[in-house]
Amino acid sequence: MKVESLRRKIIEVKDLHVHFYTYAGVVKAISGVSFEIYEGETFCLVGETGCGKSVTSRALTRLIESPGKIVKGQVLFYRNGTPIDLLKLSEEELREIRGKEIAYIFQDPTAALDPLYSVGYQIAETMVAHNTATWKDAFRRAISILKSVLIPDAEKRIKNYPHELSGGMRQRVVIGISLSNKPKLLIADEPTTSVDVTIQAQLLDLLRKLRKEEKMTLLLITHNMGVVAEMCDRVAVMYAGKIVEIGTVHQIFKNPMHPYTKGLLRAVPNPLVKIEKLESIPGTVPNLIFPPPGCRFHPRCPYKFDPCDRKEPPLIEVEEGHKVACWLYVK
Amino acid sequence: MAGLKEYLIRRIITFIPTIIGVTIIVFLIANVIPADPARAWAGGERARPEVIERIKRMYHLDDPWYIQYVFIMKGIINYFINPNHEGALVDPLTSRYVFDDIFLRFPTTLQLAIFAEIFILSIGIPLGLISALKRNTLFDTFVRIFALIGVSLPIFWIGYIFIWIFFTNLGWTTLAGVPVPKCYETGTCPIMTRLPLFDAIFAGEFDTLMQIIKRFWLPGLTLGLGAAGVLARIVRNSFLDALSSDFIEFAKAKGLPKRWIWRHAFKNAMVPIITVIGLQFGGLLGGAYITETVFGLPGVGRYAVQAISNLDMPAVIGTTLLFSFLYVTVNLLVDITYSAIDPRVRY
Amino acid sequence: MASSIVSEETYEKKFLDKLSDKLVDGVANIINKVRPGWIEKNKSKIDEWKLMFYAFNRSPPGIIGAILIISFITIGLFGPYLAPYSYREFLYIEYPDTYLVPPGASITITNDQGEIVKVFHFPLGTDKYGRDLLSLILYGARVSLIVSLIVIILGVPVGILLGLVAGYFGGKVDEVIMRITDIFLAFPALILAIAFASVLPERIRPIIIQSNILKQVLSIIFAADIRDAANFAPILSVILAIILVWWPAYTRIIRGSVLSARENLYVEAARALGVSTWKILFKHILPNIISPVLVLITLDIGAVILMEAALSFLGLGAQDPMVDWGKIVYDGAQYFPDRWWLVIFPGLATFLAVLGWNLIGDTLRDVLDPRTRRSIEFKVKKKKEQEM
Repeated sequence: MKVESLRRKIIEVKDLHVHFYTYAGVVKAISGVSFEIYEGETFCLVGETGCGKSVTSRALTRLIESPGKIVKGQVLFYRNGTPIDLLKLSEEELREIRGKEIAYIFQDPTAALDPLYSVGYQIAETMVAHNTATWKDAFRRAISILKSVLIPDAEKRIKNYPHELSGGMRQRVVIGISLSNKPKLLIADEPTTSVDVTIQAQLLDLLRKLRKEEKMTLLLITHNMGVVAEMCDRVAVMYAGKIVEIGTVHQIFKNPMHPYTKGLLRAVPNPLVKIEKLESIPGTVPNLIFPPPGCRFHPRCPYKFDPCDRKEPPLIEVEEGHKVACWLYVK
Repeated sequence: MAGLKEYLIRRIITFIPTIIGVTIIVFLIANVIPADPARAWAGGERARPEVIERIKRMYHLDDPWYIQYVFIMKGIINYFINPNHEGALVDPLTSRYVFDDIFLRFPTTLQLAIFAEIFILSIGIPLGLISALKRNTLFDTFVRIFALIGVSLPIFWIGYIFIWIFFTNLGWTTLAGVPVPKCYETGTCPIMTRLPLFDAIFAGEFDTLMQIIKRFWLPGLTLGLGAAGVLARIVRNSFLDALSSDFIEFAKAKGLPKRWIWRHAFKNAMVPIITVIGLQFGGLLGGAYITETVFGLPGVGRYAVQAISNLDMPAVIGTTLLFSFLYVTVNLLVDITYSAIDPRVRY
Repeated sequence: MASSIVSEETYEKKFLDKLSDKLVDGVANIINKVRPGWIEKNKSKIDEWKLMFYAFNRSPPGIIGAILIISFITIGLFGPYLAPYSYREFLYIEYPDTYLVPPGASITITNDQGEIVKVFHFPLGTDKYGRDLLSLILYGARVSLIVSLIVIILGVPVGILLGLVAGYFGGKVDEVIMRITDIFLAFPALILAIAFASVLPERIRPIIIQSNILKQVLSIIFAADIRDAANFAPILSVILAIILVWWPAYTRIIRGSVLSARENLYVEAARALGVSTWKILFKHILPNIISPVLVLITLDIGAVILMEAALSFLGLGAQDPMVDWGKIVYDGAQYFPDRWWLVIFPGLATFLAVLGWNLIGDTLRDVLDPRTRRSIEFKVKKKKEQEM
C-alpha cells in the first residue's frame, strides 16, 4: 500500500509510561513509548510476549487496572482534526468513547463474552449503551451484524449462548460487537492467536474486508511476523517496554535496522529456502523491575559496543517514515 | 431455554432412585438395632408376653427383612394415599399414625428454619456485598473474623448465653410452648397453610404474630448465625471473582455504564451464591434439633432424637425419610434454579 | 536475576520466621537422614515451604489459630495427667459441700475438733457429683482430640481413595460410587450420625468386654480407668458414626478435581510412558489436587469436634462417669443459669478449640492461594525496600 502524503493522524501517543506495583517490585512495563497512527491505515505493534504491546493497547483508553498505573504521557485522539488527551478525560467522557469511537478485540474470545447472556443480547447492549439504537432495533441489527461477520444461520444464532458456539465463531461475535457502533479505531490484541490457522486466515480476511467497508483504522497487535506481512501498512517493533523501530511494512521487512528486528525476521523460517538450523535470539527477555541500563536489548545484542550499556539510544529517523533506536545509527 | 426441559426431566428422574435408595438404607440402619425392640415398645421390663407377641406380629418383627421393608413402605405410602390414612404406619409407643406425630411437629421446625434463613439472608448478603466493595479494609477483616467465629460457635453454648441475655435479663423472648393463631380453634382461618406464621398473617392476628416472633427470633438467630457468616464470605468472594473476570474487562472496553457492568457481575456471582443458600437451607431443616433442645421447641428434630433413644423404629424411619426427602428436594430446586441462571449447566 | 526468592536481602525476617525456618530445616534434615540427598533435590520445595510460613506468620488470625490448636493438642495429650483431680473423684459422696460449687471457690473441710483437714480448690467450680470442672475439661480435651484425629485419619483417606477411583476410572465404577455417595449425602449428617451412634454401642460393647488387650489400649488412649471399659463403646460408635457421615464430601470433591486433572497433558504423557495407574493417581494427580483438600481437612477437624460435642450433648457420646465437653453441658444444662459454669466453661473450651482450627484453615487457604499470597509477600518486601 502506498504511503499517502496528506494523511491525518487519528492517534498520537507521546512519552507513555505505565508501571505495575506488584509483590515483586515495580514493573516498568512501558517506558517512554511514542508513535502515531494515521487514519485508514493498519498499524501493527509487534514484539515478544511481555514486551508491553498489550499494556500499550489498554493504556490508550485507560483500561489499566490496579496494580497498574499510567504514570506519565499523553494519548491524543484526533476527532475531526482536534486532539483530545484521552488520559485527561473524565470517566464518563472516556466511557462514551470506548466501544463507540474506539473499540477493542481481545485475544481470548471465550473470556470476552459473558457466559450467562445470549450473544444477541451482548451485541445489542453495546449499541443501546451508546444510544445508537433502541433494544428492538438493536436486536434486529444484531442479526445483520452476525451476517456481516459471516456467521451462518444468524437468526437462530443470536439466541445462542457463548458456549454453544465454536472458538472461531465466538471471535467473530466479538468482532461484530466491536464494530456494531462503527468505531473509527479498532484495536485488535492478538485476535488470531488462540484460534487455529484456518480460522486465523478467515478472521484476517474478515478484518480486512470490514476495515475497507467501514473505512476504519486498525491497530493490530501480534507477535506473528506472517500476520504483520499480510495485514499491515506500518509497523512498530517493541522490546522490553520500548519502541525500537518504526517504519512501513516494506521498510521493516526489506531493510530492518535494529538488531532485534533483524533477529525477529531471521527467526521466521522461509519455507522455500532450505535451512540447517532454526535461528533464535540468544538470551531471555529482561526483568522489567530492574531493567538493564542503557539500551535494553544490549545483553542480547551481537553488535553491542561502548555507549550501548550506559546510555539509552534515542529514536531517530534514518529514512522518511523509518525510525530506529540504536546507537549504530547515531552519527 | 432449549436444553432446560430435558435437563429438568433428567434430574427429576434421578430423584426417584435416590429416594428409594434412602429408604433402603434407613431400613437397614434400623435393622441393626438389637434383637428386641418389641420388648422396649411393650413397656420394657414389665412387659407382658402377650403384648410382646402382639407387637411382634403387628410389625412383622420375626419375618425376614424384605417383608418388614415392604410392610413399612406400604404403611408410609398408605398414609399419603388413603384419605383417612387407612393402613398407615402406626407408632408403637403413641399408637398414633407416625406421620400424624411428625406433621404435628413439622411446622415448628419449618418456622425455625424460616426465621434462621431470614437472619442468614439479611445479615449475610449485605455484609458480603460491603466486604466486596471495601476489599481488604478493616471492615472486610472484621466480617471475615465474624464468619470464622460464627461457624465455631457451639449452639449448646451460645444458645444458653443468648437465653441468659435475652430471656433472663431482657425478657425479649419466650421459652415455652408454640403460639398458634386463635383461628385454629375457631376454624375461621381464611387461608390454612398449617404454618402458624403465615396463617396468623393471613388472618390478621397481629398479636399472635408478635408472640410467634417473640418465640422464634432468638432460636432462629442462634441457628442462623454461623451460616450467615459463611454466606457473607461466599458472597464476597463470588462477587470479587465475577468482577475480575475477563468479560468484565471487555464490558468496560465496550463502554458499558457502571450499573450494567454490575449487572453482569451480579448475575455471574449469583450462581454459587444461590447454590450455597439452597444447600444451607436444606442443612437447616436437618440440623435444627440441637437448637430445638436448647430452646425447648417441640420440633421434628427433637422427636427424631427421642425416637432413636426409644428404639422407635417406625418413627425413626418416618423422620429420616422426611428429612432426606426435604434435603433431596431442596437440592433439586437448587439445581433447577442453577440451570435457569446458567445455560452451561444444562448438559 | 536468578537469585532464590528466599534470599536474605529481600525479606525482612521476624522472630517467627526464624522459628519456622528452623522447623522447616529440621524436618528437611530428618527426611534427609532417611533418604540421603533429598535436600539437594528439593531445594526449591524447601524454599517454597519457608515462603508459605512467612506468609502465614504475617497473619494475626493465623498465629492466634496456631496458638489455640497447639494448646488444644497439648492439653489433649497431657491434660489428663496434669489434672488436679481424677474424673472419678466423686467428692460429693464424702463431702456434700462440694456439690455444685461456683468457680474460684475453696471448700475447707474441718473435722470434729474444728481443725482444717483438707482444702479443696475449684478454680472453675464443680458439677453435681462434686467433680472439679477444670479437671473434667482437661479430660474432655483428650476425648475431643482423639475423636477428631481418628475420624480424620480413618475417614478422609477412604473418601479420597473412593474419589480418586471414581474420577479416574469413570464409567460404571464412577456411577456406582457416586450413587452411594449421593445417598449418604442425602441424609442430614447429624441425623445419620445419631442413628449410628445410638445403634452401634450394643454391637461394639460385647467385643470390648471380651478383649482385655482392647480394654488396656483404649483406656490408655482415652486416659480413662479400665473399669469404665464398657463406656468406650458409645465413644467408638460416635467415631464410627462420624466417619460414616464424613467421607462422602471428600469423595465428591476429589472426584471433581480428578475429573479435570486427568484431562491434563501430564497424565496422558505418563500413561504413554507406561506408568502404572496407581502411580499416576498417587504421584501425579493427587499431589496436584491436594491443597484445597488440606484446607478442608483443617476446617473439618473443627467441624468434627463440634459434631462430637453435639452428639454428647444429646447423650450419645461418653457415658457416666466418663466425660467430654458436650456431656458436661448435657449434665449441667438443667442448672442453667444458676450454675452457669457447667455450661459456659466446657462450651468456651469447645468454641476455642474449633475456632483455632478454623482460623488455621482460613489462613492456610489464603497462604496456599497464589493470588492472596502475592499480596502478603508484597507487604513484606515493600517494607524492606523502604528501609534500603
